[in-house]
Amino acid sequence: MLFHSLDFLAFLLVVLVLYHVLIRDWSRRKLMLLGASWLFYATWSPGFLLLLIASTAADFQLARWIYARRWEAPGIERPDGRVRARALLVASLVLNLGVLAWFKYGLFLYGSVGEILALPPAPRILAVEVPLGVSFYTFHAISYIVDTYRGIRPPTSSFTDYALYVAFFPQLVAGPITRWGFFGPQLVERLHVGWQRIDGSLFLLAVGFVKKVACADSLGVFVDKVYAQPDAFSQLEHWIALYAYAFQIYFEFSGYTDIAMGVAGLLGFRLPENFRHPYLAENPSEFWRRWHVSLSTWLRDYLYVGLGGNRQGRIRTYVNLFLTMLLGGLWHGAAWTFVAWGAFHGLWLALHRAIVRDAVLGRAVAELPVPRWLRRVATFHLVALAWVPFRATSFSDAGVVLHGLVAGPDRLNAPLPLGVIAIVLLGLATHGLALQSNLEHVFGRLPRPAQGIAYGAVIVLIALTIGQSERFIYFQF
Amino acid sequence: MRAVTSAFATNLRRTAEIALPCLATVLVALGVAWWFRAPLVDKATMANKVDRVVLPALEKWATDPTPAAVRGVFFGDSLTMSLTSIGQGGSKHGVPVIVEKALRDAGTEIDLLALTHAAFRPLHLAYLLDDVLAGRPRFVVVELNLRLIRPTREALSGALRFLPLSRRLPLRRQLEMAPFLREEGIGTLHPGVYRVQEALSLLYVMDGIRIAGNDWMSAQSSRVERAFGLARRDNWLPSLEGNDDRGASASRLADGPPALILQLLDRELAAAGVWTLYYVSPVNPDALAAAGVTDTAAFAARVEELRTAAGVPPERWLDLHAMRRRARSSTG
Repeated sequence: MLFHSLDFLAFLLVVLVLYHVLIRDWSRRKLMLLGASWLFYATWSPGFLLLLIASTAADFQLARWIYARRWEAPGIERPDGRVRARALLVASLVLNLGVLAWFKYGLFLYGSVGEILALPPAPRILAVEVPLGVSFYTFHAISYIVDTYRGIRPPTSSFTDYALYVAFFPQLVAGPITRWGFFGPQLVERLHVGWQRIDGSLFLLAVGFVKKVACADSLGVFVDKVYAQPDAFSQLEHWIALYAYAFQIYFEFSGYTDIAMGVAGLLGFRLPENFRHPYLAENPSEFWRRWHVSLSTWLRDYLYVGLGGNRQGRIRTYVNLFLTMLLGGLWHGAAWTFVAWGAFHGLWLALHRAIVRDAVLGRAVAELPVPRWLRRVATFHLVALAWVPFRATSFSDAGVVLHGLVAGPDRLNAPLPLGVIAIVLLGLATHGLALQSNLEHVFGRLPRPAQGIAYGAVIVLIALTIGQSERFIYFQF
Repeated sequence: MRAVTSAFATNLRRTAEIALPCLATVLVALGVAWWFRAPLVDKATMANKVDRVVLPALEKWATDPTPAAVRGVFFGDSLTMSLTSIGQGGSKHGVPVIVEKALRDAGTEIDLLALTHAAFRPLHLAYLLDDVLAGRPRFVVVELNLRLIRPTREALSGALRFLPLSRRLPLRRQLEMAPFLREEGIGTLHPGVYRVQEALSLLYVMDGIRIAGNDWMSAQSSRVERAFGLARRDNWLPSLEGNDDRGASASRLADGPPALILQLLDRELAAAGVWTLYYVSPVNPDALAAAGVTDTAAFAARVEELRTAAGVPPERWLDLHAMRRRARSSTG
């Protein structure tokens, strides 16, 4: 059930009526939300719902055991508690990462090793479908378990609460990756949904749908054509496709997040912000503070810090940065192109830290007076170029696209995609406007009937443009 | 009590302040679309002749039978359409003509329908199954085009998926076909929405607006290209056929929806007492090789797996692709 489908609209309406009108008791409301979330998941893959429930139950219990063995009370560690709890932590990580590895990376690893060792074709047991959202809900579970182990907060005693944290349908299949510390407190007592929250949520829903259906999908039609047959397109078309994909993935994923936040908001919940106009970043470090923030902070807290962070000297810090992004790339998909994308970002982050922060080439280089706009333009272009292997299905296709950017044919292969260019310019304009003002506040100051007309126009726009794509790029991750 | 009533009134007012203008905007847009529906529908059905040609022919055939004739249906895409002589005359060849000729030579009076349209797939026969069965056919010949059996979204987007045809599906069959419909982009409510659009004479109006918008954009593109001196290829290369061939040859047809659809068709047609023949139309091996599909034996094995999974006995399954391959290899 995609967010931009009639089925989801009907599902959401039923959930809202049950939640706000028919069920008054908070515990029952949460139970209903959990049931709705599992039903939402079952519409994708009923079989994998059992996997989700089983891993949820296992993690719930393991977290309780871990906490009981290590902590006597909040902040008071038991003698030998760390050793006893660590075995359970490892068991939990093996369980969660094992599920992820089996379903998502089994075939990839076998294929990669098999190519070197000339192994026979992969057994059918490895050729399994990847459970939808497995990367997201696994990360939810790991953060919960690790935080419990670290004693940051005690685990919940309510299975319903924990299961709802993992499976809450607005964020189940494509995030944002929410921490228990952010979501758990919202489950304690009945949430009040005021007009301000409803207005904000409606705005997010409208913006999210426009981003996804009208912008991302329209860009995707052109990008798909270019990447399906890159050698047929001209140099100009390759440049347009470069910008188009940069904005397609931004509009699509940030649009999805907006819709998720809007839906959650209508139920009174808050989800963490995931995008902060990423193409305004002036360097790679800032880019990752603006792009998929819930993933980058997760990687920082549970991978980079776990590897030693910046506590073990400069060289080790660079290596940790590189490894974190390399694995972050692999998280996006079981393909070497994703690894290359992660490696590029890891290398770029490490170099940026070495040159600018640690001034390994001297203060003069580190403090070179580069205008802000130029830093933004350069960062955007490096990010956009890095999307090429991310989007391409193979290195050879990526090579053809990159070659097309510098030496593609002169003659256009298709009519100049004016609509695509207009949407890219719209993307740039919204980034530019974000420097000046907050669009939500501007919209909020409009008279309510004018807001209603705008929402009506959005519905018409969606009805006209819907159906170009039945997928979300980030669902595959 | 007064406080509750006051809060309710406030909520109602605030909701109406947004909902009514929103609804009015949508209704105005619908009104404009309805007013211009005729040219918009014409635009959308210029290439897609299903509602204009195929459905009226099917309805006429079903409701106006030739007495005492053997009634049959040839279902397929443009290949079958180009091979069948029904209602067209001229010299044609291929499975439909062979069947037709054999029946005529045997002195059988026949009343045949060519249920054909470019990009038709067995799925579309499933959409129209009740309409077909209403005509009480004795036999149905179904073409299976390997290139289209499980098309990629890039290959067959929008109009060529004939999504509005799903309005002919009864609920029972819709639920049975749900996994395949999901792959097509058809949710639970879509058939109902298409029925409402049909009742309001708004079917294909949205498509017409989209096509008109695309035409306008293309015209603007040409102007901009001329203004900037941009040249376009003489023959642009939109071909994704290689992808289709690679996709069809690589996918395990037996595990997926194609087998499910054939199972469903075969079961329902048999239950209605209809004899069904399936024929796999040949794909040019040179085109396959050009697309990188060189393991044609594996390709053929997948087709055979599909037959087994669909539960169709060999005597009702003609794999012309395999036969052509064998013939080529025997003649060197």
